[in-house]
Amino acid sequence: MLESFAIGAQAILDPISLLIIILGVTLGIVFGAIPGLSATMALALFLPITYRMTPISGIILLISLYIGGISGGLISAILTRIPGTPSSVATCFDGYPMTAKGEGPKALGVGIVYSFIGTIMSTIVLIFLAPWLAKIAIKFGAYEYFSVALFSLTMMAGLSGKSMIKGLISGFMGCIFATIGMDSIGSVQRYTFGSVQLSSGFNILPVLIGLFAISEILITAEKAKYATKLDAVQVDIKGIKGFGFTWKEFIEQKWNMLISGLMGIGIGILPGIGGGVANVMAYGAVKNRSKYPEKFGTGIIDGVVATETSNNAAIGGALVPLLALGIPGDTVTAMLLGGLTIQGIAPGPLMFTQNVDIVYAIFLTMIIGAFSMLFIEFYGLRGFAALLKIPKHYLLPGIFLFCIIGSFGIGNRLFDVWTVLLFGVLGFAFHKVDIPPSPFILGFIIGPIMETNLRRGLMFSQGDYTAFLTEPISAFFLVAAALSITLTVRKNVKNAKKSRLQN
Amino acid sequence: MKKIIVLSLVMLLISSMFVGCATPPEESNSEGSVEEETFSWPEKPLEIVVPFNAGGDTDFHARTYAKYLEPILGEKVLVVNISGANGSAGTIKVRDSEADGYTALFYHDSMLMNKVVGVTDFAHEELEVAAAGIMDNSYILAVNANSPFETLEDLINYAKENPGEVKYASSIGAYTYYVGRQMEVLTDVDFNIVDAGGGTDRNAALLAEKIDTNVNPYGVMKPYIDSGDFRVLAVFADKRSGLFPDVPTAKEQGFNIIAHRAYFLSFPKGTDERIITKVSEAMEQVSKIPEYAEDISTAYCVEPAYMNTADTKAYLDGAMEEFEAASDMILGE
Repeated sequence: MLESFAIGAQAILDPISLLIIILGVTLGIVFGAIPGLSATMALALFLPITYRMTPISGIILLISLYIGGISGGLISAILTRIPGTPSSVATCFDGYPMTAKGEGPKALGVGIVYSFIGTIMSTIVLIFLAPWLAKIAIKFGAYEYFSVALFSLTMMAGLSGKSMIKGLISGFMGCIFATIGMDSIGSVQRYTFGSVQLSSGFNILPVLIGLFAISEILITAEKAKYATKLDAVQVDIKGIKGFGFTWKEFIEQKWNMLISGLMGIGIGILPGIGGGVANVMAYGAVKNRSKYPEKFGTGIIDGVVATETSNNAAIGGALVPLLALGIPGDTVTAMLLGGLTIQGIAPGPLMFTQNVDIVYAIFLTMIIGAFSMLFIEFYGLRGFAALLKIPKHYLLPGIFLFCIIGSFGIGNRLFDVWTVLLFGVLGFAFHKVDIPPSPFILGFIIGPIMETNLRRGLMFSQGDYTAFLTEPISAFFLVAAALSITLTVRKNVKNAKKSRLQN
Repeated sequence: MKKIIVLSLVMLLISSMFVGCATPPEESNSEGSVEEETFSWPEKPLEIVVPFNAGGDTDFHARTYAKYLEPILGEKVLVVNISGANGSAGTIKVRDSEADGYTALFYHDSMLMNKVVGVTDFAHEELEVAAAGIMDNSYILAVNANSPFETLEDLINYAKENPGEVKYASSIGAYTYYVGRQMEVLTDVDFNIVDAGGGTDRNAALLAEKIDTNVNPYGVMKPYIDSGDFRVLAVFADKRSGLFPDVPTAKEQGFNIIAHRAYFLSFPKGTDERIITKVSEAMEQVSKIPEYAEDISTAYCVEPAYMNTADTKAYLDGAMEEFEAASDMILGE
């Protein structure tokens, strides 16, 4: 292993490679931080450029963009309540309330440090356990995916906020909107009304941008109409020391960190489910086991720790099946696969023996990239926090512009821009009737995974539903889902009784 | 405020990188159009639309083509990805573009399949087909190395004795679905045709032995064949491939099934015939460049196969006829 590291080090320890890493991480952070742009888009834009680079330079650029992009999402999530990427949806829950309380820099500091820890944790797992874990991951077939998806969907409860009913409405609307387009099994057109554009359904990114960014802009604009002056949030930048939180707080978060990191890695490894689900699930899990779940959503660091550790941990997780078996876990890893294939390197079971230099260059890039991210964001922290001083009537139109550009950039078609606007209006309507948008996103991501795998599973078993229960891994997650629902219902009933007694 | 300015500067920088790529070299229009004053195409960069995201096989082939077309045409050739609706969004975009010869579409037989399945209501007949550059003849049938089947005959015999038991992976409406149905009809067997996702998902499923067979182009499964995880039983081609000559054809084993797809370039209807001819000739030149052949064989295990305008049209018409006649099979009815 040491020898392999030496080979990897030889490949990337030159000034140009290090420069590429730093540049890649910085650009990634910028893409992640600007609502409307995302890690996925950063990779899509730079992938064609890597075709003309050497394989090593190309892959380290892509990996650096990926690390920076996933982490960068926390900045806009915390400062503006607009998640920069699907991976930071849940970061808004506690990150923004912290900002509202004037603790923005601390929230950023926590997010940055735990992004770093998440990346490093998952890199360690990737280096030592990849071939072994990948073999487990491919054991997950249609039955297992269906059950995992169902289990994730039960996490909606944790995202619902005050009203469970409204959370469920939002979540199921997400599932329903996801059915629009060609169905994944039989290519049947659903709710497309003859429109070819609609036949591929709505892309997750414009939906997310619309629901969170555009609606936020509309909400603020409405407020501005009735207020004489919109005050920028007050932040005390001078008072920040280090990352803004104490060792004591760090020690207190150790279990949250560990659980969130492991969940991120686990979810990242499963092809098809990535950081977008990991952050939400980790948030739900940490909230469930917390001694003070009622404080979640009011601006405590526990929430930020959970989401930022898990979404970055999902990066290393997603690379496990890619590097060990050549199986990409999400859009981003699919692009990495494309980038490698074009260089004449086909990731697959022989990658660890035939392309030692590439594999270890990737490992080292992740480590160096994680440190670069820590430093860049640490020194940028004060600058990011200063963004809050910009009056919103300058900041939000800028964000709006990026949202439009970003959504067009996804597939180079205007349809995605209309999608953003449509979901922006929907998000605004949600706000008016107090429906939380996060369950919508979870439903939108998980719904299709569940449907596809239910139908695939039934094809495999030729219509026999019991197969979902007789396969051990699948059965395990079905039981977990049942437990999760029972516990949530019990808790709600208890709380309802308590509040009735109090009245 | 300062930060925003910095951010926008960064964005500007990024966009200027692309514009930078797009700026045409100015010295290029002098040759090529000496005898005809009026015909000076191309005078600006040519845009090739790939109807999928960057990173896949179609994108790879388009970009590799672009790289070799550039010096021949003497202008930049840019690849633009317009994804959505299984390739139809990009196809429609090109069909509706101005017929000035500066927007072209790089696609393959799936364009026709989309019409048969009903995603679109048109195919190549509403475009000006230029030429095909690559014919992918490398569709193979592979099994897991632990599988008891050593030959195609083993597999078919087992399937005959155990109807509905052999899991053949494909998605309804996909080309490989049609190949599977053809096999069923020809050999009078009944597979359990299951949906196990796209190329890489199916590789995972075959590795985990969740499916019994997998049909895909050789390049998609190559790493697993090299590692000894998969065993190839047959290639669905007329003759053995020069790139993997050990694999027998299905035809040799008594099952006459041929599968292939052509990657072709087309323009909006009404594009100047001289442009079509010029592009077609340039494509012919590319197909003869040894470096090009090496590029595509390392990445996807295919060989260049140029077909001129008339041949490509005839090929597509033939394929369309075949798919339409077999639409019940393709739609799983």
